[in-house]
Amino acid sequence: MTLSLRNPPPPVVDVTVPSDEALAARLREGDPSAGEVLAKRYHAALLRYLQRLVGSDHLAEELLQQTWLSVLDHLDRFDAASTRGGFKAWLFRIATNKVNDVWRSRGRERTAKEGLRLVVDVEAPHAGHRIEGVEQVDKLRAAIEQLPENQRQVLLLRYYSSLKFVEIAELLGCPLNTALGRMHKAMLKLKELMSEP
Amino acid sequence: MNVGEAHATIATMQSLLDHLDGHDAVLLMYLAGELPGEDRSRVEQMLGTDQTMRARLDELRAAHDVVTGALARHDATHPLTGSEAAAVRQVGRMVRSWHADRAARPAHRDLAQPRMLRFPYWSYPLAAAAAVTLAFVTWYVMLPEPGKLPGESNVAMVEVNPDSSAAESIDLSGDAAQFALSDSSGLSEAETELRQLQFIRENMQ
Repeated sequence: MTLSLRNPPPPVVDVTVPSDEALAARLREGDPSAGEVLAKRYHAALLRYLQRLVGSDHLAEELLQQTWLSVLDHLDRFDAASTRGGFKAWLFRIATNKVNDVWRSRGRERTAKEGLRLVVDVEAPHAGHRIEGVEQVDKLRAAIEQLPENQRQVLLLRYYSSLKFVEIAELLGCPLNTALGRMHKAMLKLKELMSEP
Repeated sequence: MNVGEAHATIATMQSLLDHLDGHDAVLLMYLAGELPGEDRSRVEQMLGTDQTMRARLDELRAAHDVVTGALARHDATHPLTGSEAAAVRQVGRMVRSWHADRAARPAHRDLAQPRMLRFPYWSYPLAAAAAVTLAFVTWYVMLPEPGKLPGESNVAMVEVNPDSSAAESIDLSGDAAQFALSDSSGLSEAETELRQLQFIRENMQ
Protein backbone atom coordinates (compact mmCIF):
# COMPACT_ATOMS: atom_id res chain seq x y z
CA MET A 1 0.00 0.00 0.00
CA THR A 2 1.30 3.39 -0.86
CA LEU A 3 0.64 6.44 1.22
CA SER A 4 1.50 8.77 -1.56
CA LEU A 5 -0.31 9.84 -4.64
CA ARG A 6 2.99 9.63 -6.40
CA ASN A 7 3.91 6.20 -7.65
CA PRO A 8 6.75 4.51 -5.81
CA PRO A 9 10.00 4.27 -7.72
CA PRO A 10 10.33 1.13 -9.83
CA PRO A 11 11.37 -1.74 -7.56
CA VAL A 12 14.90 -2.99 -7.76
CA VAL A 13 14.71 -6.37 -9.43
CA ASP A 14 15.61 -9.01 -6.93
CA VAL A 15 16.33 -12.32 -8.57
CA THR A 16 15.48 -14.18 -5.38
CA VAL A 17 11.93 -12.75 -5.33
CA PRO A 18 9.86 -14.24 -8.12
CA SER A 19 7.62 -11.87 -10.06
CA ASP A 20 3.84 -12.16 -9.91
CA GLU A 21 3.79 -13.41 -13.46
CA ALA A 22 6.36 -16.13 -12.74
CA LEU A 23 4.32 -17.21 -9.73
CA ALA A 24 1.15 -17.21 -11.82
CA ALA A 25 2.86 -19.50 -14.32
CA ARG A 26 3.87 -21.86 -11.52
CA LEU A 27 0.37 -21.68 -10.11
CA ARG A 28 -1.01 -22.70 -13.50
CA GLU A 29 1.13 -25.80 -13.25
CA GLY A 30 -0.53 -26.55 -9.92
CA ASP A 31 2.17 -25.40 -7.51
CA PRO A 32 0.32 -24.59 -4.25
CA SER A 33 3.30 -22.73 -2.80
CA ALA A 34 3.14 -20.23 -5.69
CA GLY A 35 -0.50 -19.57 -4.82
CA GLU A 36 0.41 -19.12 -1.17
CA VAL A 37 3.14 -16.61 -1.99
CA LEU A 38 0.72 -14.61 -4.15
CA ALA A 39 -2.00 -14.79 -1.51
CA LYS A 40 0.42 -13.57 1.15
CA ARG A 41 1.72 -10.81 -1.12
CA TYR A 42 -1.73 -9.35 -1.75
CA HIS A 43 -3.64 -10.40 1.34
CA ALA A 44 -3.62 -7.09 3.23
CA ALA A 45 -4.08 -4.81 0.22
CA LEU A 46 -6.86 -6.87 -1.27
CA LEU A 47 -8.72 -7.39 1.98
CA ARG A 48 -8.50 -3.72 2.93
CA TYR A 49 -9.66 -2.73 -0.54
CA LEU A 50 -12.65 -5.04 -0.30
CA GLN A 51 -13.47 -3.93 3.26
CA ARG A 52 -13.48 -0.26 2.29
CA LEU A 53 -15.57 -0.91 -0.78
CA VAL A 54 -18.29 -3.07 0.73
CA GLY A 55 -18.14 -1.68 4.27
CA SER A 56 -18.27 -5.10 5.92
CA ASP A 57 -15.36 -7.16 7.22
CA HIS A 58 -17.24 -10.42 6.99
CA LEU A 59 -18.40 -9.86 3.43
CA ALA A 60 -14.92 -8.70 2.43
CA GLU A 61 -13.41 -11.99 3.65
CA GLU A 62 -16.00 -13.92 1.69
CA LEU A 63 -15.28 -11.87 -1.43
CA LEU A 64 -11.57 -12.42 -0.97
CA GLN A 65 -12.12 -16.18 -1.12
CA GLN A 66 -14.35 -15.82 -4.15
CA THR A 67 -11.69 -13.71 -5.81
CA TRP A 68 -9.05 -16.41 -5.40
CA LEU A 69 -11.45 -19.05 -6.65
CA SER A 70 -12.08 -16.95 -9.75
CA VAL A 71 -8.36 -16.44 -10.19
CA LEU A 72 -7.91 -20.20 -10.33
CA ASP A 73 -10.90 -20.70 -12.61
CA HIS A 74 -9.65 -18.17 -15.15
CA LEU A 75 -5.92 -18.61 -14.75
CA ASP A 76 -5.61 -20.38 -18.09
CA ARG A 77 -6.92 -17.24 -19.79
CA PHE A 78 -4.57 -14.84 -18.02
CA ASP A 79 -2.01 -13.45 -20.41
CA ALA A 80 0.60 -11.34 -18.67
CA ALA A 81 1.83 -9.87 -21.96
CA SER A 82 -1.54 -8.44 -22.95
CA THR A 83 -2.75 -7.33 -19.52
CA ARG A 84 -1.68 -3.80 -18.64
CA GLY A 85 -0.58 -3.80 -15.03
CA GLY A 86 0.13 -7.53 -15.07
CA PHE A 87 -1.15 -10.02 -12.53
CA LYS A 88 -1.86 -7.36 -9.90
CA ALA A 89 -4.23 -5.43 -12.18
CA TRP A 90 -5.91 -8.67 -13.19
CA LEU A 91 -6.34 -9.72 -9.56
CA PHE A 92 -7.85 -6.36 -8.57
CA ARG A 93 -10.11 -6.45 -11.59
CA ILE A 94 -11.53 -9.78 -10.46
CA ALA A 95 -12.02 -8.44 -6.93
CA THR A 96 -13.71 -5.32 -8.32
CA ASN A 97 -16.05 -7.46 -10.39
CA LYS A 98 -16.99 -9.40 -7.26
CA VAL A 99 -17.84 -6.16 -5.50
CA ASN A 100 -19.87 -4.99 -8.49
CA ASP A 101 -21.90 -8.18 -8.24
CA VAL A 102 -22.62 -7.40 -4.57
CA TRP A 103 -23.61 -3.83 -5.39
CA ARG A 104 -25.92 -5.00 -8.13
CA SER A 105 -27.69 -7.41 -5.78
CA ARG A 106 -27.82 -4.71 -3.08
CA GLY A 107 -29.38 -2.36 -5.60
CA ARG A 108 -32.11 -4.88 -6.27
CA GLU A 109 -32.65 -5.33 -2.51
CA ARG A 110 -32.76 -1.59 -1.98
CA THR A 111 -35.34 -1.19 -4.71
CA ALA A 112 -37.46 -3.91 -3.14
CA LYS A 113 -37.14 -2.34 0.32
CA GLU A 114 -38.06 1.08 -0.98
CA GLY A 115 -41.15 -0.42 -2.54
CA LEU A 116 -42.03 -2.06 0.77
CA ARG A 117 -41.52 1.19 2.65
CA LEU A 118 -43.97 2.93 0.38
CA VAL A 119 -46.52 0.23 1.13
CA VAL A 120 -46.23 0.29 4.93
CA ASP A 121 -45.47 4.02 5.02
CA VAL A 122 -42.77 3.71 7.63
CA GLU A 123 -40.21 6.46 7.50
CA ALA A 124 -36.78 5.17 8.38
CA PRO A 125 -34.56 7.56 10.27
CA HIS A 126 -32.77 9.74 7.77
CA ALA A 127 -29.17 8.60 7.40
CA GLY A 128 -28.20 12.16 6.68
CA HIS A 129 -25.11 13.53 5.15
CA ARG A 130 -23.69 14.93 8.32
CA ILE A 131 -21.19 12.95 10.26
CA GLU A 132 -21.46 14.16 13.77
CA GLY A 133 -20.38 12.71 17.05
CA VAL A 134 -18.25 10.05 15.52
CA GLU A 135 -14.55 9.67 15.90
CA GLN A 136 -12.18 10.68 13.16
CA VAL A 137 -11.51 7.11 12.12
CA ASP A 138 -15.15 6.16 11.88
CA LYS A 139 -15.75 9.44 10.17
CA LEU A 140 -13.58 8.24 7.33
CA ARG A 141 -15.57 5.06 6.95
CA ALA A 142 -18.80 7.03 6.87
CA ALA A 143 -17.34 9.54 4.44
CA ILE A 144 -16.16 6.81 2.08
CA GLU A 145 -19.59 5.26 2.17
CA GLN A 146 -21.08 8.54 1.03
CA LEU A 147 -19.00 8.57 -2.13
CA PRO A 148 -20.60 7.30 -5.30
CA GLU A 149 -19.49 3.74 -6.03
CA ASN A 150 -17.45 4.61 -9.11
CA GLN A 151 -15.49 7.33 -7.27
CA ARG A 152 -14.90 5.01 -4.32
CA GLN A 153 -13.50 2.37 -6.64
CA VAL A 154 -10.96 4.66 -8.29
CA LEU A 155 -9.83 6.18 -5.01
CA LEU A 156 -9.40 2.86 -3.23
CA LEU A 157 -7.85 1.13 -6.21
CA ARG A 158 -5.30 3.89 -6.41
CA TYR A 159 -4.56 3.74 -2.72
CA TYR A 160 -4.50 0.00 -2.12
CA SER A 161 -3.25 -1.38 -5.43
CA SER A 162 -0.87 1.47 -6.34
CA LEU A 163 -1.73 0.88 -9.97
CA LYS A 164 -1.18 3.73 -12.38
CA PHE A 165 -4.19 5.77 -13.44
CA VAL A 166 -3.86 4.42 -16.97
CA GLU A 167 -4.01 0.88 -15.59
CA ILE A 168 -6.93 1.73 -13.32
CA ALA A 169 -8.84 3.19 -16.27
CA GLU A 170 -8.25 0.04 -18.26
CA LEU A 171 -9.17 -2.16 -15.30
CA LEU A 172 -12.47 -0.33 -14.91
CA GLY A 173 -13.08 -0.13 -18.63
CA CYS A 174 -13.36 3.66 -18.74
CA PRO A 175 -11.36 6.46 -20.41
CA LEU A 176 -8.36 7.87 -18.54
CA ASN A 177 -10.05 11.28 -18.19
CA THR A 178 -13.08 9.65 -16.58
CA ALA A 179 -10.91 7.84 -14.04
CA LEU A 180 -9.03 11.05 -13.27
CA GLY A 181 -12.27 12.99 -12.94
CA ARG A 182 -13.66 10.46 -10.47
CA MET A 183 -10.45 10.53 -8.45
CA HIS A 184 -10.47 14.31 -8.32
CA LYS A 185 -14.09 14.48 -7.19
CA ALA A 186 -13.58 11.72 -4.64
CA MET A 187 -10.60 13.45 -3.03
CA LEU A 188 -12.27 16.83 -2.80
CA LYS A 189 -15.48 15.33 -1.44
CA LEU A 190 -13.64 13.26 1.16
CA LYS A 191 -11.60 16.23 2.25
CA GLU A 192 -14.76 18.26 2.63
CA LEU A 193 -16.50 15.53 4.62
CA MET A 194 -13.46 14.95 6.81
CA SER A 195 -13.16 18.66 7.55
CA GLU A 196 -16.72 18.90 8.82
CA PRO A 197 -16.88 19.40 12.59
CA MET B 1 -0.16 33.45 -17.55
CA ASN B 2 -3.89 33.16 -16.94
CA VAL B 3 -5.98 29.98 -17.00
CA GLY B 4 -7.03 30.49 -20.62
CA GLU B 5 -3.45 30.87 -21.75
CA ALA B 6 -2.46 27.81 -19.78
CA HIS B 7 -5.20 25.85 -21.50
CA ALA B 8 -3.96 27.06 -24.85
CA THR B 9 -0.45 26.01 -23.94
CA ILE B 10 -1.66 22.57 -22.93
CA ALA B 11 -3.67 22.26 -26.13
CA THR B 12 -0.62 22.83 -28.28
CA MET B 13 1.39 20.22 -26.43
CA GLN B 14 1.85 16.83 -27.88
CA SER B 15 1.88 13.41 -26.17
CA LEU B 16 -0.13 12.63 -23.03
CA LEU B 17 -1.06 16.23 -22.20
CA ASP B 18 -2.97 16.36 -25.47
CA HIS B 19 -5.33 13.71 -24.23
CA LEU B 20 -6.06 15.10 -20.78
CA ASP B 21 -9.16 17.17 -20.14
CA GLY B 22 -8.38 20.32 -18.20
CA HIS B 23 -6.07 21.33 -15.40
CA ASP B 24 -7.34 18.92 -12.78
CA ALA B 25 -6.52 15.85 -14.83
CA VAL B 26 -3.09 17.26 -15.72
CA LEU B 27 -2.34 18.13 -12.11
CA LEU B 28 -3.48 14.75 -10.86
CA MET B 29 -1.21 13.00 -13.33
CA TYR B 30 1.58 15.39 -12.39
CA LEU B 31 1.17 14.68 -8.68
CA ALA B 32 1.05 10.95 -9.39
CA GLY B 33 4.32 11.19 -11.30
CA GLU B 34 2.76 9.61 -14.35
CA LEU B 35 3.63 12.28 -16.88
CA PRO B 36 6.50 11.71 -19.28
CA GLY B 37 9.61 13.82 -18.64
CA GLU B 38 8.91 16.44 -21.29
CA ASP B 39 5.29 16.91 -20.24
CA ARG B 40 6.35 17.16 -16.66
CA SER B 41 8.80 19.92 -17.29
CA ARG B 42 6.18 21.82 -19.31
CA VAL B 43 3.71 21.58 -16.46
CA GLU B 44 6.39 22.82 -14.06
CA GLN B 45 7.02 25.70 -16.38
CA MET B 46 3.32 26.59 -16.32
CA LEU B 47 3.18 26.25 -12.55
CA GLY B 48 6.03 28.74 -12.32
CA THR B 49 4.00 31.41 -14.09
CA ASP B 50 0.35 30.53 -13.40
CA GLN B 51 -0.77 31.31 -9.87
CA THR B 52 -4.25 29.85 -10.34
CA MET B 53 -2.81 26.57 -11.44
CA ARG B 54 -0.43 26.54 -8.51
CA ALA B 55 -3.30 27.20 -6.13
CA ARG B 56 -5.22 24.27 -7.57
CA LEU B 57 -2.20 22.06 -7.21
CA ASP B 58 -1.90 23.04 -3.55
CA GLU B 59 -5.59 22.33 -3.01
CA LEU B 60 -5.26 18.94 -4.63
CA ARG B 61 -2.18 18.10 -2.60
CA ALA B 62 -3.92 19.11 0.61
CA ALA B 63 -6.93 16.94 -0.24
CA HIS B 64 -4.62 14.06 -1.00
CA ASP B 65 -2.80 14.45 2.32
CA VAL B 66 -6.06 14.50 4.28
CA VAL B 67 -7.43 11.41 2.53
CA THR B 68 -4.30 9.30 2.55
CA GLY B 69 -3.53 10.32 6.13
CA ALA B 70 -7.01 9.28 7.25
CA LEU B 71 -6.80 5.98 5.40
CA ALA B 72 -3.39 5.23 6.87
CA ARG B 73 -4.57 6.04 10.41
CA HIS B 74 -7.66 3.94 9.90
CA ASP B 75 -5.65 0.94 8.71
CA ALA B 76 -3.16 1.34 11.54
CA THR B 77 -5.83 1.39 14.22
CA HIS B 78 -7.97 -1.36 12.70
CA PRO B 79 -6.02 -4.59 12.41
CA LEU B 80 -7.15 -6.91 9.68
CA THR B 81 -9.84 -9.33 10.65
CA GLY B 82 -8.91 -12.97 10.42
CA SER B 83 -5.46 -14.40 10.28
CA GLU B 84 -3.30 -13.83 7.26
CA ALA B 85 -1.68 -17.23 7.74
CA ALA B 86 -5.07 -18.96 7.74
CA ALA B 87 -6.12 -17.13 4.58
CA VAL B 88 -2.87 -18.06 2.86
CA ARG B 89 -3.25 -21.72 3.86
CA GLN B 90 -6.77 -21.66 2.52
CA VAL B 91 -5.54 -20.44 -0.86
CA GLY B 92 -3.00 -23.29 -0.81
CA ARG B 93 -5.80 -25.79 -0.21
CA MET B 94 -7.87 -24.23 -3.00
CA VAL B 95 -4.94 -24.61 -5.40
CA ARG B 96 -4.47 -28.29 -4.49
CA SER B 97 -8.16 -29.01 -4.90
CA TRP B 98 -8.33 -27.06 -8.16
CA HIS B 99 -5.31 -28.87 -9.55
CA ALA B 100 -6.71 -32.27 -8.56
CA ASP B 101 -10.03 -31.44 -10.25
CA ARG B 102 -8.25 -30.31 -13.36
CA ALA B 103 -6.14 -33.47 -13.49
CA ALA B 104 -9.29 -35.60 -13.11
CA ARG B 105 -11.05 -33.91 -16.03
CA PRO B 106 -10.51 -35.41 -19.50
CA ALA B 107 -7.75 -33.72 -21.35
CA HIS B 108 -8.72 -31.16 -23.93
CA ARG B 109 -8.69 -32.40 -27.50
CA ASP B 110 -5.45 -31.64 -29.21
CA LEU B 111 -6.31 -29.27 -32.01
CA ALA B 112 -3.29 -30.40 -34.00
CA GLN B 113 -4.72 -33.89 -34.32
CA PRO B 114 -7.18 -34.58 -37.14
CA ARG B 115 -10.74 -34.93 -35.99
CA MET B 116 -12.31 -38.41 -36.23
CA LEU B 117 -15.24 -38.40 -38.69
CA ARG B 118 -18.39 -40.42 -38.11
CA PHE B 119 -18.98 -41.06 -41.85
CA PRO B 120 -16.55 -41.38 -44.76
CA TYR B 121 -15.22 -38.02 -45.86
CA TRP B 122 -16.86 -38.24 -49.36
CA SER B 123 -20.34 -38.71 -47.92
CA TYR B 124 -20.57 -35.09 -46.70
CA PRO B 125 -20.40 -33.32 -50.11
CA LEU B 126 -22.65 -36.05 -51.55
CA ALA B 127 -25.26 -35.42 -48.88
CA ALA B 128 -25.05 -31.67 -49.49
CA ALA B 129 -25.57 -32.16 -53.25
CA ALA B 130 -28.54 -34.47 -52.61
CA ALA B 131 -30.10 -31.88 -50.31
CA VAL B 132 -29.72 -29.13 -52.93
CA THR B 133 -31.24 -31.38 -55.65
CA LEU B 134 -34.16 -32.29 -53.42
CA ALA B 135 -34.80 -28.64 -52.64
CA PHE B 136 -34.78 -27.75 -56.36
CA VAL B 137 -37.17 -30.58 -57.28
CA THR B 138 -39.56 -29.57 -54.48
CA TRP B 139 -39.49 -25.98 -55.65
CA TYR B 140 -40.10 -27.01 -59.28
CA VAL B 141 -43.08 -29.22 -58.37
CA MET B 142 -44.63 -26.46 -56.31
CA LEU B 143 -44.47 -23.93 -59.17
CA PRO B 144 -48.00 -22.76 -60.20
CA GLU B 145 -49.38 -23.86 -63.59
CA PRO B 146 -49.09 -21.28 -66.38
CA GLY B 147 -51.98 -18.82 -66.26
CA LYS B 148 -52.69 -19.39 -62.60
CA LEU B 149 -51.67 -17.36 -59.66
CA PRO B 150 -49.51 -19.07 -57.04
CA GLY B 151 -51.74 -20.80 -54.50
CA GLU B 152 -54.78 -20.74 -56.81
CA SER B 153 -56.55 -24.08 -56.69
CA ASN B 154 -59.14 -25.85 -58.78
CA VAL B 155 -61.68 -25.42 -56.03
CA ALA B 156 -63.51 -22.12 -56.22
CA MET B 157 -66.37 -20.37 -54.57
CA VAL B 158 -68.43 -18.69 -57.24
CA GLU B 159 -71.15 -16.30 -56.35
CA VAL B 160 -74.10 -16.72 -58.73
CA ASN B 161 -77.09 -14.52 -58.86
CA PRO B 162 -79.58 -16.27 -61.19
CA ASP B 163 -82.58 -13.99 -60.72
CA SER B 164 -80.80 -11.03 -59.20
CA SER B 165 -83.19 -11.22 -56.26
CA ALA B 166 -80.91 -13.01 -53.81
CA ALA B 167 -77.27 -13.91 -53.63
CA GLU B 168 -76.44 -17.53 -53.45
CA SER B 169 -73.10 -19.16 -53.07
CA ILE B 170 -72.39 -22.37 -54.84
CA ASP B 171 -69.53 -24.64 -54.05
CA LEU B 172 -67.85 -25.84 -57.19
CA SER B 173 -65.68 -28.30 -55.45
CA GLY B 174 -67.72 -31.21 -56.76
CA ASP B 175 -69.07 -31.42 -60.30
CA ALA B 176 -67.96 -28.00 -61.39
CA ALA B 177 -64.41 -28.81 -60.51
CA GLN B 178 -64.63 -31.97 -62.54
CA PHE B 179 -66.01 -29.92 -65.38
CA ALA B 180 -63.22 -27.44 -65.15
CA LEU B 181 -60.61 -30.15 -65.24
CA SER B 182 -62.12 -32.20 -68.07
CA ASP B 183 -63.50 -29.60 -70.42
CA SER B 184 -61.45 -26.48 -70.17
CA SER B 185 -58.61 -27.62 -72.45
CA GLY B 186 -58.32 -25.81 -75.75
CA LEU B 187 -60.85 -23.07 -74.88
CA SER B 188 -60.30 -19.42 -74.29
CA GLU B 189 -60.80 -18.11 -70.78
CA ALA B 190 -64.11 -16.40 -71.67
CA GLU B 191 -65.46 -19.55 -73.28
CA THR B 192 -64.48 -21.63 -70.31
CA GLU B 193 -66.17 -19.21 -67.94
CA LEU B 194 -69.34 -19.17 -70.05
CA ARG B 195 -69.49 -22.95 -70.18
CA GLN B 196 -68.95 -23.11 -66.42
CA LEU B 197 -71.88 -20.78 -65.82
CA GLN B 198 -74.10 -22.79 -68.14
CA PHE B 199 -73.14 -25.96 -66.35
CA ILE B 200 -73.99 -24.36 -63.04
CA ARG B 201 -77.39 -23.20 -64.24
CA GLU B 202 -78.17 -26.70 -65.49
CA ASN B 203 -77.19 -28.17 -62.15
CA MET B 204 -79.35 -25.66 -60.29
CA GLN B 205 -82.38 -26.47 -62.40
